[in-house]
Amino acid sequence: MSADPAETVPPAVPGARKHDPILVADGITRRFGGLVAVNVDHFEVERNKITALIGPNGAGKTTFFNLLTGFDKPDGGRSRFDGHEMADSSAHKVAKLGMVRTFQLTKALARLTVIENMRLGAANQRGERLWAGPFKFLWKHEEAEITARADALLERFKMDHMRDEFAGNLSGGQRKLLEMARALMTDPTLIMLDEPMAGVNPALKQSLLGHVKELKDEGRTVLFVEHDMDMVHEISDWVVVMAQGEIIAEGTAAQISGNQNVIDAYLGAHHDLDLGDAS
Amino acid sequence: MNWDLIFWNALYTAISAAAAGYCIIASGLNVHVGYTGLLNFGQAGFAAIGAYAFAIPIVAYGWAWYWALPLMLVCSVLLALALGLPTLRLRADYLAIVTIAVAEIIRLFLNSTRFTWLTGGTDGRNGWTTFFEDLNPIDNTARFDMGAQSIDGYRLFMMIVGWCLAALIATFIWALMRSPWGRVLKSIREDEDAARALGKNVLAYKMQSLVIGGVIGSIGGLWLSAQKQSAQTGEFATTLTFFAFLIIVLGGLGRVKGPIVGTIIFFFVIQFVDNVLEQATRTDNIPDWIVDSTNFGIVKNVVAGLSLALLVIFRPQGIFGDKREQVFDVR
Amino acid sequence: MGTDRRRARSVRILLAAFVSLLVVGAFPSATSAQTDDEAPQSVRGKVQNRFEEDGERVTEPVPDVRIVLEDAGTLIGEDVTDADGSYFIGLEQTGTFTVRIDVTTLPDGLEVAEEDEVQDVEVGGNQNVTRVFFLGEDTRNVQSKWSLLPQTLANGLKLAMIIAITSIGLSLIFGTTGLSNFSHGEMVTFGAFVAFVFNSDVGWHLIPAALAAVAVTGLLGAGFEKGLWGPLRRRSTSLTSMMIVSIGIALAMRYFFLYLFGGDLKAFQQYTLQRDPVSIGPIDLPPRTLFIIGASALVIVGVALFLLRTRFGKAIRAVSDNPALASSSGIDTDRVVLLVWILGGALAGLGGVFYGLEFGIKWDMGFTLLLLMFAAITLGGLGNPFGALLGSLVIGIFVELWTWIVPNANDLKTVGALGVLILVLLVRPQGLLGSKERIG
Repeated sequence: MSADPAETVPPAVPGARKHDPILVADGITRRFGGLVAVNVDHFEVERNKITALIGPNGAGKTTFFNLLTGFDKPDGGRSRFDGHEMADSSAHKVAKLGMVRTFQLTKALARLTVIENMRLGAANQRGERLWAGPFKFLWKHEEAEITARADALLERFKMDHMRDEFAGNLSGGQRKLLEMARALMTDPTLIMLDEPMAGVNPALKQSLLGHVKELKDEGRTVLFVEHDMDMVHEISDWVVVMAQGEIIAEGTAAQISGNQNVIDAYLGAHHDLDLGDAS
Repeated sequence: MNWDLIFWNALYTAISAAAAGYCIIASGLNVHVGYTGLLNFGQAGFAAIGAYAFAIPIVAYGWAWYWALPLMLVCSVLLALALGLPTLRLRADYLAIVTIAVAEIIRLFLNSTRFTWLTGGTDGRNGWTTFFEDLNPIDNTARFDMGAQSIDGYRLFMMIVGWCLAALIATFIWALMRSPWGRVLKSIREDEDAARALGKNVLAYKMQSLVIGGVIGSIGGLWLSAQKQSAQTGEFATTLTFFAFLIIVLGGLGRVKGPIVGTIIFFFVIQFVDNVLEQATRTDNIPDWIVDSTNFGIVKNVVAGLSLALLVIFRPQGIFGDKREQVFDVR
Repeated sequence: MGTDRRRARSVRILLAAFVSLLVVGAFPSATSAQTDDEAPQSVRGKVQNRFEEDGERVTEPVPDVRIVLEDAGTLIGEDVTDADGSYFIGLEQTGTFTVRIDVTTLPDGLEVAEEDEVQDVEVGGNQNVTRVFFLGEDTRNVQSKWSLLPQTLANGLKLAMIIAITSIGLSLIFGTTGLSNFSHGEMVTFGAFVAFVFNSDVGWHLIPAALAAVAVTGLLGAGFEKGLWGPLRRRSTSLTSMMIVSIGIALAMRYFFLYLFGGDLKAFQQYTLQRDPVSIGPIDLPPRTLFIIGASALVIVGVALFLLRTRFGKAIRAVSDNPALASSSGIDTDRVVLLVWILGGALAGLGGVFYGLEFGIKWDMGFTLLLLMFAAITLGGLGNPFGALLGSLVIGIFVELWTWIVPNANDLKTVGALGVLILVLLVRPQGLLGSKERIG
């Protein structure tokens, strides 16, 4: 499907239609008591692009993430991922379909080793069935393949030297890397990163950026929540801005940084975030 | 004081057939608490089902043991489902509360005079262990000496078979926990949202864990009664669950050898304390206002409770455990 | 407030708790010497004459009647009823026996119905079984099931009130700290025994003894928070670990009570035997029960007003809603939690005294009550004190109603309530008043 380049740049309006959306959400709402945390009319994520989801604190970004990935149930609305209806899908089913997320507060499995964390990521393992578990010959080969794949990924993320450490002994940045690598073990089509840069030291940041770009080169789609505007500018193809539970702007990073709505939203929230230069 | 007898009797108790039963019950609990992070406070209920669902059809309805055994296993699985369905979606407290409540319900039913015709009431259920007795190749009238402690042939036989059973179950658990299946359980223990985000059906795994650990607990309960040749309701009070907790915390949660090591330490210490107090009260070495012959037996329960609390606070990794591997977060 | 002064104050509280523990610990040695009957089991009860006089039912004790306990025809114990009509037969063994009334010793003109002459009795370990013999007209079977309903509901209300005042503390502790405190039942038992010691051993009247028990149990709560749970929270101990610790503490305390006081059912010196019930329509309640219901209702209203109106109460609710937010908005979370422990302890102590008055004091009474308390607060919605009240009402009434629906099911009383708990979790896991977010 070769498209006219002009067609591939959607208009810079909230809820813009994309040329080839992998994820489409309609009318997603979530209320906590009287507070409307999320109220998104229409939202699309373009396939094989890096989309950033930004917004001031409390804008509902993480809640929206949870709703899309089945970790929370919306009060209304529906979403479609890669042709599958996602209504009321539980989190593990969402992940099995190829939409895998990471968490803002990393969930490294502290008392498993790094390599065990990685192996866990692999999908559809026969050895994970109860009946096959006690019989090693049933899953020995599969396990060897998984381990090889895990080792390759660890090498790519330059974590091979930590292979047999307990994940609990890793630094914050290393945990972020591990979580991303572990998510890749599932071979996702859409990977959703919740604040991948939070708490990561500057040296690691650059390599993390590189890894995210590589994901796109591999043909995957990336959707990430981020506060670090440098990262947003550097890697995202498209930026979606949320405030008070709604999408208030969409566009390329350059278009967004001049958008008055966005500036108002941040200032209105008394947020002294550096919006960066559209260089 | 006869220290020789005190020591050998405590040692015998630590490796007796009853201890093997406790070890198996604790092994099941270890699958729940140590590997999956499920807080089951009602393991005594599984144990009771194991004994009674086996004994009742044999005594009351004349079933053969090879029919009673599958019935017992089915009952145990059903109990696990009944506990798990309402609670496993919810936070950990709910499982804890419901399991302790259901174990109490089971105990109340067993004790109830309305069901004496079925359960035998406080007399318990007897006469269902003949096939164990027939299996025994060791001369029942012979005496076997273990230091100052001497035991009969049946006890020796049940002790050996009991620990073989415990070892078999430990091996089974080891094989399960080194597998990718076990890895998923451990990941749920660490952080179930992470497991969910990786596409694991956490609810199904928790349920499988509850069933496996529960069935093992039932086998342990069956053994506990079989070695006694009688199913007694008093055996399955809530204290059984908490002794099992103490055993796995002592031996190290989430370790295959944990229940075995824990059982031996637990029963040795408890029986030692009990023996010392018993002799001391009998020979008046200890003033009556501290303990007398009517209440020395209670002291071991107080000791057990305090030990459980202190161990979890100060040595959650168990007596021999490595601090890094402790299952509960105590930073 | 300076930290030094605060520290000095907490040291005093700890010290006071410790001293009161010592006081409580020191007395029972005297008790065991006084009580002559140390049999682990017993069969006890009364012989009563029932008749109608001027349209009112009257119950009268019958003294000097011989009661014998037999095991398959062999005599194993006997007693003669005292002025209260009470008898007591201590037992070393357990099992199923028969209690028989010796009809030859009955006063002239009194008879016992033939089917009531012999009663079966099953005695388990450390059990005290009660068998009452009624002479004269037996009004029990005359009453229809429906006419018994109001009395059943009144009994349920009584139990509900006791569950309510004890479970508020459990609920508040859960709300503010996240801890499911499995040793809360033992705080109830503790309160009952403190009152018992002051009442029976020191010789105080029950009312000051009860007040002392409330104060000492409140101090015990403070001691737990200061000496155990507070430090554990500061070490970031996981809630799972804390739950297991609370189980260990519960086990140790429960058996410590058994060790100190023995396994038999104890009673307070005053108000235990009230022979003239107050009749309200079809309901007969002894004055003490009316008092318990009224006093509990007052306490509950007081606690509710405290939570809704006072600064401290609002602080407690703020911490329950969101500890992080509360502490960032200047609320001293540790002080709030300490207050909750004192309040929860005091209420547990009061509940223990009430429960002891109604059902007798026993080493494991708290554990029985704990399950009902958990059922109540889970039913109402974990962490919501008003939910705890509603849940208590449902559970208390259901426990009694169960015996009304299923006859002769006294030993299965709590089963129905625990069954309700499981059903509610299936249908509405957040409880009646809980919010969905809490259960995730």
